[in-house]
Parts: sequence; structure tokens; C-alpha cells
Amino acid sequence: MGKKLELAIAILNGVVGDHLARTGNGLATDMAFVRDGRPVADVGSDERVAVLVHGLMCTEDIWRLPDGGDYGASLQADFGYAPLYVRYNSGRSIESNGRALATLLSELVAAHPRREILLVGYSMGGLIVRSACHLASLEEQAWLPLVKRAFYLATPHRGAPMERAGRVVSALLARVPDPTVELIAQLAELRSAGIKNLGDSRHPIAMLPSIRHYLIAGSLRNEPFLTELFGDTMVPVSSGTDGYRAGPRALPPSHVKVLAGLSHMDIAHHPDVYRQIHEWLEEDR
Amino acid sequence: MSKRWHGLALLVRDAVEHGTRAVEKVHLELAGRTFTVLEHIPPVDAPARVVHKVHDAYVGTVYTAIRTVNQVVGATLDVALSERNDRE
Repeated sequence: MGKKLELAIAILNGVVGDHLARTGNGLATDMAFVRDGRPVADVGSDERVAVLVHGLMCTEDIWRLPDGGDYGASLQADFGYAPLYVRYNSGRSIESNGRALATLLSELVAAHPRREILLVGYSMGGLIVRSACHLASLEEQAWLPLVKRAFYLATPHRGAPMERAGRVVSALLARVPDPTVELIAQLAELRSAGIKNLGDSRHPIAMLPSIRHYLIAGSLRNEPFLTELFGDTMVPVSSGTDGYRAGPRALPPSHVKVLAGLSHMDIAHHPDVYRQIHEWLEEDR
Repeated sequence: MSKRWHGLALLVRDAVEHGTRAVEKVHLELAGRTFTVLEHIPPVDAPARVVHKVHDAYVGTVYTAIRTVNQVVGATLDVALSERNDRE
């Protein structure tokens, strides 16, 4: 019951979370590190931590693998990173959540000296990681130099076509001079700022050169046309790889992987994804 | 948990408030179209204008009453939740 309720609130936050935050509604989720569904009172004194940021309408439960483990637990067992799971209101804008994450990480390093922070963002979580890093670089925040690597899993670096389709439908409905259709258009426009941000075709923030970035995108099929178009069903491969395939990019080719046969949801908790993360970390030791 | 119950009550109140405003607008516009046609037909134009005004006033009163009840119920629920919280 508890997890179902938390998930229902996470979905509600994803849909109208900006309204909840704006009106001071108690259902709005404040960004925090959570453990066993509750905010963590003591973030511990581990020198090396892995911070995992979930995606739209999720809780940290999305990371749970079928065998009961998760990427955070595996990172701790294999590489000694203490996992910290972030929960947040995914209906707020990516910029707002980026700022909140930067604040949370500032508090993390203020609580205890740290040696390294590993960032893992799934879907929208990856965009929030980028936004937090960008803000930290502008404000020269103390935690940023501790970030050596960032992993982006199924992150729509170049937007999600479903939201772009939503924008078109919403704009078309708004043009119909009929009060009933206008009402439907208003309902369509109710979606949160976070969802609307996912339609942006290019993330306005460049990846910081001081961090080694690793990207994993999923594709349901091996057929190139369908892969480009649908990717993991939510994020096309060109968006999940930040356009890597379109031409020469700043990222080394070995830092971008497309895993065939994985849907968008699978990527948050699949052994193949962790295997890839493990391989990259081993190479980079 | 209490914070969330208060939040749920507030969200329902917001939904009724915004929902009735949107539906009231559609209601008045749709009815207005019919009345506008009737108001251009000479034998019924004058009575149609009167009925139009009465209709709009009545509709406005009904929707305002729904919103008032919504606010009163919301405020009562807030007090009840706070008292229950204090007792716990």
C-alpha cells in the first residue's frame, strides 16, 4: 500500500506538480535523499557517493532490479560508492529541479568532506543532472569538482517526440473557435512544466568538459529506421545519444551505447545496463 | 501524512473551483449562441433578450453557489483534519 501510494503521489506530481508547488500543496514532493521511502536524516560520511536521480512520475523504486538489487547497491558492492537516491517533484521545471539538486549536493558536501560524487540520471533525471552541473559551474559550487563521471540513462537530450506531438495537438485545439474544444484545449494545457520541458528539441545547456559523460539509449528493435523514430518507445536514439550518430560530437564514441531490446522503463533496472556501467567504470579506474 | 490529506483537500477544492469556472464559461457561450439567433428573429427578439439575461443570471448564481459550497466544505475539512492531527 505504501509504495502504491508513493507512486500515485509521484504520478500526481509529474502531471500537476508545478501547480502543487506553486500553491504550497502538501502533496508536492520536496527534493530529498530517500531511503526505504523516507527522507534520509543523515547522509553519512562516505567519501565516495553515487547519486541516483529518477525520471518523470517515478519514485526511487524505479531502480529496483527483478532480483531485488539496484544499480546503487551494485555500485556500492563493486566500486565502493555509497548510494543516495533522490526523490523529487517531477512536475516542476527541469531548471527548478536542477537548482534544487545543486542545493542538495551542496548540503551533501557541507555535511562531510567527500572525495567523489558519481551522478546517475534516468530519463528526465539526466536532464536535471545536466542542469544542476551547469548551475554549479556558473556559481562555482564546491561539489562540482568532485564529479568525475555522469551517466545518462534513456535521457531525452534532444527532447521527447510525444510531448512535441502534445504541443501540436494542444496548439491546434486552441485555434478552433468553439467553446467546447477550447475547454479540451485548456485541459490539454494542464500538463506540468516538467512534461512541457521534455518537448524541447535541444537541451540549452552544453555538457561540461570537466566531467566524463556516458550515455545509454535503448532501442526496441535493430531495424535502423524504427530505432531512429521510436528508440525505446519514449526517447528516440538520436535524443538518447544526444545526436551522437548525426555527426562528430564532443563525446568519445566509446562513451555512447545503444542497447537493443530495451524499452524506456527497462533501462532504469536492467542487468545489461548495469553491465555497461560496470564496464565503463572498470575501464576508467 | 496530515500534510498530504490537507493537500488532497486543497487539490479537490482547486479542481472544483477551476472546473466550474471553465464549464460556466462554455455553458454561457453555448447558450449565448442560441439566444443570439433568437434575438435576431423579430417576433421573439424582445422576449429572447429578457430570457437570455435571466438565464445568465441564474446560471451565474448556480455556479457561484457550487463554488461557495466547495469553499465551505474545504474549510470545514481543513479544520477537521487539523483537529484530528492535534488529537494524534
